Formats: sequence, structure tokens, C-alpha cells
Amino acid sequence: MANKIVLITGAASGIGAAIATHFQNNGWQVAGLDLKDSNTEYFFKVDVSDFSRVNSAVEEIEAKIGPITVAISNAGHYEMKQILEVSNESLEKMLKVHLGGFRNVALSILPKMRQRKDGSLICVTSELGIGGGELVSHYSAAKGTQIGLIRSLAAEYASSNVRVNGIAPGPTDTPLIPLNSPERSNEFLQTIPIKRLVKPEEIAQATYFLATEGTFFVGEIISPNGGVII
Amino acid sequence: MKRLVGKVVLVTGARQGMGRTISKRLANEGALLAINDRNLDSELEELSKEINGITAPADLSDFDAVASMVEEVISYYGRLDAVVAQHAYMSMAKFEDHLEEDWWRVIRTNLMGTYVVLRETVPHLLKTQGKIVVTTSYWGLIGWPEASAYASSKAGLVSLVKSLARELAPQGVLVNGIAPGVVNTPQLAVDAKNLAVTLEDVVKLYGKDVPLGRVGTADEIAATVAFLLDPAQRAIVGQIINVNGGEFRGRA
Repeated sequence: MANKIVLITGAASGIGAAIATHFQNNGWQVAGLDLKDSNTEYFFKVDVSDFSRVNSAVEEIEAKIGPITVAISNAGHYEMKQILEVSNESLEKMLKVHLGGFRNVALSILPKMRQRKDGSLICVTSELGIGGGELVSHYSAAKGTQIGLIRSLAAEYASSNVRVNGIAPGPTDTPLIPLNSPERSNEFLQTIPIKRLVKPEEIAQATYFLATEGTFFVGEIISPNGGVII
Repeated sequence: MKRLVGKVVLVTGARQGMGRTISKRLANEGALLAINDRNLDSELEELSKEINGITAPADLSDFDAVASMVEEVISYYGRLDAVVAQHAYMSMAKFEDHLEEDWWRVIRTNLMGTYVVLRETVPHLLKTQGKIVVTTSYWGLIGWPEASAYASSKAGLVSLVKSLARELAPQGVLVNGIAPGVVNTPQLAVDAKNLAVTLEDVVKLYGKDVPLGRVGTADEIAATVAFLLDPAQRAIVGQIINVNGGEFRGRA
């Protein structure tokens, strides 16, 4: 890849920060979008659910640094709640951040990639979007919508040599899982075939492969999930 | 970046096609290779020299032959860190016309051959917390006309991967599969001959049906194997990785 410029949403912490570090270590220029301050070379304080903000950040990156060759829609929001306690507002927020955030990144970058006949768009979704889970109905539903969008965009853009794929992490050791979460209990960890949480670096390794060497991957969802969904 | 320095990897079906390219790629990453194929011929010899590995010929339908092949690999390298089960026999025919003997040869080579190799190597992989990568196929997931034997054998491998992954992950051995779509291998030359067209025509013809507009390369498959074997990656378990240019839906 000639232009090593990557855009990452949700780059300030957790999986996004690990992905940013991995690309940076491999000589990429990283532009991070996040609500919080991010430690990336270029940084934009942006709410991904706001299309105009995402779009203008993309325009600014391309004008200042150069064409974005890899875009990673990773920003997410997680909470555990019984379905009866999921309000309309909290379902809407899930959809706005995950489906809306991914759509906004896709809408901002895909036309440019299509014009250049090159590019890779990756959405970080979740194994919960494939397998569902207790107490995460709204999160799982929102993550499932991303998978439908990944596959559809993949079909629509493949002939332009633009590849759209997904990464579906399993339970990963990030701040999204609070220290007192049941997902950190030994009882839960013993139910995971690899007996531990997935490391953010493992998600970053898979994402980097998909972006750089996964040139025959189209509409694929790679799931480093520790074996929770097989 | 060399990610597999000192890792001992056995690749089956390594003489040509994807197996050959995978072996070269893994060697470039620093791995120590044992390359298997049915017969020891000059091609296998030369490849082993080129990649500074050893040949490990064996008929994979023969338990005893595989057992002594694995023993030789272990006695040479002293360990085994990964197995890439890449060998395959391909035969296409209309379901009703497919000779029973040939049908079974496909199943025996692809499914049973992998079973035998894994039976003999898993004890060694348990010692190293090793990895297994099995090449299955896009056709094993969605089926294919006139490929009932091949697709069934590959579907069997999908289930073998998932079952072994569940069984071995808690003991530290990680099992995954790759499901390539159409890839430019020597099989395409065979197809070209059967269709009485040039290889270039076949590559174009097959590429048209792939959403990405082209067939895959053996390098792209080899890169995927290297990615799965990277010691930094130990969270991918029991997955079938589709490397198919977007061919998920099939067609009439």
C-alpha cells in the first residue's frame, strides 16, 4: 500500500487504541476520531453518530494528510440490561452509535475509495451480533445490524476493488468491561474455551492483517472470540 | 517481520499449488518446515532445499506410514508447533455418474487423510500448545453441483475443525480452518484442459463470477495461514476463515 493512512473511530481507548498502536508501530499515519482525547498522531473530537462531523473530519484528513486507504469503524457503547429495562432511548442510542456510526464512516469514505479503486473498510462488530447473549439484547441487535451492512456494502463495492469486512471480537479485556463485571469473574472465564478474555492486541493483529494482507477478503467477518462462538 | 522463527510446521500436500506457496511463506517467516506429499519426487526435494526444510513423504491413507513420517519429523526437529493440512484430491462428476470408488477416494484423501495426520500429530501439538490449520473450501460450506464428493469431504473437515477446536482449546491447542474460494492453482490448468480453453481464459472466466472480479492467489491463502499461525494471535478458535473474494451466495 502506497499511502499508509488509517482512520480509526473510537481510537482513544480499548480495542480502538490497540488497533491505533498496532498500525502506528507498522509505520502508518493514524487519524483517530473519538469523543475523548486520543493518543493518535492526528485526532478529531467527534461523535460518530453525527454524519456531518464525521464527514468533515474525513475531508480534513484527506486534505491535510492524504487519501485514507484503510478506515476502521470501531467506536462503540456497551451496557448490560435486562430487555424489559431497555428503554426506547437506550435502544436508539445503541443503533445510532453502532449502525449509524458505521454508516457515517462508510458514507464518508466509500465514494472516495470507489473513485480511487482501492481501499479497505473494516467494521469492528461483535460475536454478540452473531450469537446473541443474555442481558445484551440491545447491544447484540445493534451489532447484528452492522453485520448486515458489512455484507451488503461488501457486495456493492467489491467490483470497485474496495473491500468491506468485519472483525467480531469476543469478550475482550477493555474498559468496556468494568472491573467488577461478571464477565471478569473466574466462573465466567472458565466458560471460555481459551479460559481468558481476548486481548485487545489480538483484535488489532487480526484487523491489521485484514486491512493489509487480506486482499481476497470481501464481506468476511473474522471473529477472534476465544472460542465462545464456533 | 519474521513471526515464526523456530516454529516447526508440517504442511501436507506441499508439493505444488497452495501447499507449496504456504510452505515458502512460512519459511520466509522463519518457520522450520517439514513438507509432506504422497511421493518423494524431485519437485518436493527441490522445494525442501529452497526453504531449508525437510521432506516428509507419506500416503495419508496409511496410518503406519503417517505414524513413521511424524516420528521422523519429531526426531529431526525435536518438536512440532503447527500442522497445516492442505492436501486434497479433487474429482468432479454428475452425482449419478460418479464412480463409487472415485467418490470414496475423495472422502478418503480429504477427510480421512486429515483425520489420520491429526491423530498422529495432536499428541505432539499438546506439548507445544500448538496450532492446526485445515484447508477446507467454500464449496464445503455452500455445496456445489457435480462436486458432491469434494464438497462433502470439505464439509466434513469444517465439522472436524469445529469439534477438535472445542475439544483441544481448553488444553491449549488451537484449531481453525480456511475456506478458499476460487484460487489460481495448478487445478485451473486441469480445468482449462477439460474445457479446451487456455489457462488465461479460465482465470478470466472464473474471475468474472467472483464479486471482487478476479480469482484469488496462492499468496493470499498463504498470508492467511501465516496470520493464523502468528504467536501473537491466540484468540481465534474453531473459526472457518472465508478467503473467497466475496462469493457467499453462489449462483444457479
